[in-house]
Amino acid sequence: MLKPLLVILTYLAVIFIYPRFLLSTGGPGDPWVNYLYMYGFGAITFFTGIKLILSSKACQLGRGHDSKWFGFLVGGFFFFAIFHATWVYLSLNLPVKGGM
Amino acid sequence: MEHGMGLNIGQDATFVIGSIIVGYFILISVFGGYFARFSRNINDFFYSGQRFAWWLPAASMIATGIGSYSFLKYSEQGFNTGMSSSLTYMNDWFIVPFFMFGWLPIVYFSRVKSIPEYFERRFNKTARYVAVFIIMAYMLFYIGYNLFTIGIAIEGMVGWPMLWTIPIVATFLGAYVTFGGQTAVIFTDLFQGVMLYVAGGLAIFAGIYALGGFDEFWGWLPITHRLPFVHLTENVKFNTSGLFWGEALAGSIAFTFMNQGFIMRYLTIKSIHDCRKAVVFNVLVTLPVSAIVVGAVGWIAKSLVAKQAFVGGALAGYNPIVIENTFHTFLVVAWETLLQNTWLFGFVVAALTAALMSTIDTLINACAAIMIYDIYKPLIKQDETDTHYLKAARWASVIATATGLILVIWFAQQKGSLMSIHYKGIMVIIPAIVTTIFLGAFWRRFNATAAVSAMVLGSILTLLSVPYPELIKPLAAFVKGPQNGVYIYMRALFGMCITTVIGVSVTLLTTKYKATKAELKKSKGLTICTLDDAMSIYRGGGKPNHTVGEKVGDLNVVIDESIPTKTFSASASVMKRLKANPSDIVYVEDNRRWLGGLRAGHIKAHDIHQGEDDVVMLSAQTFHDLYLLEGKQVRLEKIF
Repeated sequence: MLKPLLVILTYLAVIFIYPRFLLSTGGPGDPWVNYLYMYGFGAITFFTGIKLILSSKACQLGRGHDSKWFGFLVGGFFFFAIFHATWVYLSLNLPVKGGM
Repeated sequence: MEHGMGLNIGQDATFVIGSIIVGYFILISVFGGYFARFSRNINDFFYSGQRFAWWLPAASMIATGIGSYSFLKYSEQGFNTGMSSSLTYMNDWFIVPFFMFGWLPIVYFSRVKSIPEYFERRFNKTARYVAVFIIMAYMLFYIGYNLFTIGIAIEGMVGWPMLWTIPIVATFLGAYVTFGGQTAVIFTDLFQGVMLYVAGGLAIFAGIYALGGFDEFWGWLPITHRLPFVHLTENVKFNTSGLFWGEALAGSIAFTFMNQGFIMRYLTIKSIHDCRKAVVFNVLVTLPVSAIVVGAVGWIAKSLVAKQAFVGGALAGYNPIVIENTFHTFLVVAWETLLQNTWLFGFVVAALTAALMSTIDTLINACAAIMIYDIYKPLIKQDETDTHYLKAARWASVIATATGLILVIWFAQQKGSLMSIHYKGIMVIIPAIVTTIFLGAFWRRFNATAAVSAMVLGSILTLLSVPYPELIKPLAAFVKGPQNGVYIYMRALFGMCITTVIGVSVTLLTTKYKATKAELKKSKGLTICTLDDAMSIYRGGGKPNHTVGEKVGDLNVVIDESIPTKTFSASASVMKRLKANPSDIVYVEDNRRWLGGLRAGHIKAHDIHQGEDDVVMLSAQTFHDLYLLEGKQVRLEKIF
């Protein structure tokens, strides 16, 4: 009975604390704070999903095409995470014409 | 002739552009109407017989996913806040595990015809009709909203009053959806998706060319406009924190889990393996490319304006680009960078209106499916013939279109921007049902009482947060601005949290820790931890055969009436290559793969014949049911 309640309370606590923590370490206009907000909460959501599909055996590594799809799932997450990080880095570091 | 977008288009040019749009609408309606011949029964009408290859529905989702005024809205957003306009299209991956290995196989294998039907099978009748109410509200809202924005867009572009354009567009749309069903929707959307990319690509190419190349485009773009994320909290209508909860979670879950139109698109696909290909293609390729196609003209506009300001006037060979009303950024930039070429601009505008049509046709077909499977069949006429339901389905399409038309009157009376009307409505409707679907699919203990309580109380409390926004404050206090509008997106977070708390609390208070046998039986195949049962039920008993086999093509069909209907007989060598056993489900399709499964279907392996290796035997009825053609070879693929 306690487990579901604890899970919910943990998630609610993270939803409450994490943005405040980020804002205390960097300004809301900092692109990396934005990145950490999205990929922080995104990672929690994504890996909750991964844990769920593995523990429920909806995805069984080694069965049929499951391993391939599992690889796509994890690879896709890191692809987007790296892609967005590179994008932020290039935006901040490539020169702008006209001094704007 | 001056329309509301700051373009000076002459009478002759308006006539040419208008003619291209009308011609395009007629072409689409005739094209869609052709596919009426592939809807012989109600399953064909709504689900195209679950026979398509992944790429066909996936490609057709391009046009479905690009909404009624995406080009206008995202180009405006791109001009105002830059490349962060792509964020709503590129933050969907977080929910993909839940969808790919959870919800998608559940709805696919349980053969539910509608999301509300899932609610009855998983919970009870009350849950089903609460879900019908919310989902219909969601979809009719979208139909009305899309029709309304079509009127706004066409009025803005060519000056035709929406009083006339909306009913005319609705008639064209209603016609091909009514007669052609899902197959017509998929093929017209496929065609329109290609047109959208070509038109968007043309406008982007013209813009980049006007700037002098990609380096110039990137070079003149301010840093704020290069970033993939907008400010975390500052912009009331567009901030990263709100977009995560409102768009990446609630919005994406609603679109993929609850939007009957999208679910039906996946249910047309031949296998769960192909469904997963469509998911990956959609999120990894289609959405990012669509983000560029609909938003890039806004980014280009920002670069053009910056370069013009620096050089002190118009770029060589072009008129000065002045954007007075940012909502028309796309049209102004396309018109000027295409050097006011009426034919090219007419084509771009016609394709843009395609974006308007292709979202609604899916929704009309989806609404009709709910009307038939959740209202007409269980409540009004229970045991009628398939022909009767097919006729009723066509009437349901007409009713859905007409209801959407009536809702336009309501939309026309609303105040505020199009975007705020849209999100204010959607963020109230979706959080409770989206959360209930999640709990129902991923937590077996979640029960009927909890589901109904969560949907009803969750929706009421979410609605109450409109007059009492302080309810949301603990979760969103860091989002700037005192006015109610700040919580447009964060309302989704509040709605999801409160629904979860209600759902979990009621479950814990109303069930024992261990579910009863009856409860376990009821949820069989309908939750993530019972998917093996779902697969077994889907194939009609027995253990699924997961061994991966080859696809075997170039086979000749021989009609043999001794083979039972819906089965086939192949040689031992073919069965070995397929890795198939008797009674396994096998997909048979016309050998021409480009047909995408238009002539195909699922049948079961019968026994092995002793004839030629390249021969597959079927009964005449099965041959007819699979839409196969005489003299054409077939290809086999074992599903499981």
